[in-house]
Amino acid sequence: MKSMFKSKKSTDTIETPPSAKASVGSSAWRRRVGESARNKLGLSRHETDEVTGDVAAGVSSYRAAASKLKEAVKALESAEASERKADARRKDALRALGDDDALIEACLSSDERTDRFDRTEGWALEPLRSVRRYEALVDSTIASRESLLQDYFARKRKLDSGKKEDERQFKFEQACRAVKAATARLEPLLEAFVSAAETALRDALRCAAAARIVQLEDAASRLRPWAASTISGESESAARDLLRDVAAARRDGSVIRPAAPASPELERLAAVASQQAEVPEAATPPSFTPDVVPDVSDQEAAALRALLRRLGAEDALARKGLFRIPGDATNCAAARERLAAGDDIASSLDVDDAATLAKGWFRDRPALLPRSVNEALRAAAEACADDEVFAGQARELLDGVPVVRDLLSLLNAVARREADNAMTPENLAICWAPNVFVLDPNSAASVADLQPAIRLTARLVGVGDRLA
Amino acid sequence: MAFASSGTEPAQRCREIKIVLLGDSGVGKSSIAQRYVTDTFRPHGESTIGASFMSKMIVNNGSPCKCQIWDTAGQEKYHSLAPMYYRGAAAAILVYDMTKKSSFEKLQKWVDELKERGPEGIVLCVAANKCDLEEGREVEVAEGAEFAQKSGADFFETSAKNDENVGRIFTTLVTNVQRKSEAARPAGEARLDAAPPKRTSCCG
Repeated sequence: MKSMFKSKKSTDTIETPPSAKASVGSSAWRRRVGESARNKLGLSRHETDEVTGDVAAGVSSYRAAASKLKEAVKALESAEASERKADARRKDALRALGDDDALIEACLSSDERTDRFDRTEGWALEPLRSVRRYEALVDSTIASRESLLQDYFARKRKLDSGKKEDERQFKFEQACRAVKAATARLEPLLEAFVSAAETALRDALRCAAAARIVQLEDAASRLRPWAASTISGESESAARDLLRDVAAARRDGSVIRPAAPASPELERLAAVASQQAEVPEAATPPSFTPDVVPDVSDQEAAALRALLRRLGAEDALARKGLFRIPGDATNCAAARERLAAGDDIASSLDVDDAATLAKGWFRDRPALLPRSVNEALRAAAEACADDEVFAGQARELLDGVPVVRDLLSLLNAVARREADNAMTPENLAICWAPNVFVLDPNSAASVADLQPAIRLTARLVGVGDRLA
Repeated sequence: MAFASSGTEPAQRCREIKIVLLGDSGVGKSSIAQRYVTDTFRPHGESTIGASFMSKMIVNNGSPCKCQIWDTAGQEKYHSLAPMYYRGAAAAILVYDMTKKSSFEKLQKWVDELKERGPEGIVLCVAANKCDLEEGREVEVAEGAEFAQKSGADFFETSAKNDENVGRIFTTLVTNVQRKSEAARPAGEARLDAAPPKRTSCCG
């Protein structure tokens, strides 16, 4: 029994007895294992000590290695955390700075470094020899990251101070610009004010002159039959004087004889205008070009009438933006030649093309509406608040220019269909006034004259159905 | 380098940019300007008399910029006034109505006129307006884009009514103008807009 036990003992491995709780490598463990080995294997104390000592040394070196690994992992974690922090700071700074290519580049290169860092993580999980390499790498990464950040903040500080300087300069420039702009804005305003005042004065003078012409013509026409019936030298010469007066007044509209005052309303207007203008009356004597009513041949007039008829058709009146929307330039050019040649093609024209051609017809005849008539119309519009009275005066004044009367009657019909074509009298006036109702159609001054011309046109469109 | 240059830029970049709208009557020039400046839309608004002027302050790529928008009248009679309005313009928006072929064909004349008499290096953009009216389309996208490319212009199909691409026209133009002016002004060269000397105080 004992021998069997002994022979078995020799093959036994040295195990920690189940009762022994001491940890491997500790002195208690060494004592117990040593005793058991001595008892079971008959080894000397010296021999057992050597063996247990080796094991204990192995274990402790294993532990040391393990703790180093732990430290390394901790260092890795803290490096990662600082990496993240640095990243966040970098991003904040980036945001504060705004986009910048170079910053993006810096960012990209640091991303590369992060890649390398990720690779080192793999090494760190390898046996301990990698740990040192990795640590050094992490250190250098952190160091370079720090230096990058330091560089970055240094630049940012520089940038901030630069910004402040720029802001100051920017504000100063802004102030300078504002002053310049205000001055620039003031000058055209002043000019516009002076020119508006001048125009107002001239308008008033012209109105008065026009009214005076009408009066003189009226008197002359009354005098003519009387002069014819009573052929006395005295009355004949009076009639001649009066006719000369008419001619003189036509030549120079600025001459207003105090002996024959215009209507009190006009005088009041002239006085107000001259007060507002504060411009010496003689500063800009209005220059009147003698009226030349251009001859409109029957064929030309017929072409226009055909166009106006086309534009009075139902599909034209219902066309949205009639007279505002331009026609096709190529079609218009072709149609214009055929119309000029006398071809009767108006009825088959596209609405917008016909509208463009009609506007062009008037634009080609800038002197169609005599200046005196235009001015008298303006005076009448000013003086007559009542549409019926104005229509009566306009009818008489436009007696010599039937094409304009026809046009206004069509425009009135168009305006009545505003619900379909969206063209109000004002809108029509904006499109038509520059073609027919400005005083100097071919001069730059017509721009300044646009507003009064548009007002007159809108008023005339409103009474267009009562002019025939 | 990059840090330093971006630090001295902003003051140079902020400036006024004059933009002029050109095109046929009724294509929507005023509507585009109105949509951009006041973000409103009025169908069948009145025709423009002569020209109208609006301005809007914007911040583009971090630099403030004041858009001076000159909206010209499209009526034939007013065409003779156009040079008054495009003189000194940094950019022009050429507008046509994509439901009206003839308004598109007219743009070539504007491009020719601007090349001949317009300010040198004016930045162009072509706007095909009323793109909400797809069913009435008369000008294909490709035609418009090709014309724009040939004229060295950017191209957008826009709708002032539905607010499509209107803002993009202006930001694109402003970006292009800014890029152009930066390219034309090498670093270190004296500024032409007479900057006051640094460290000068207004009150002495």
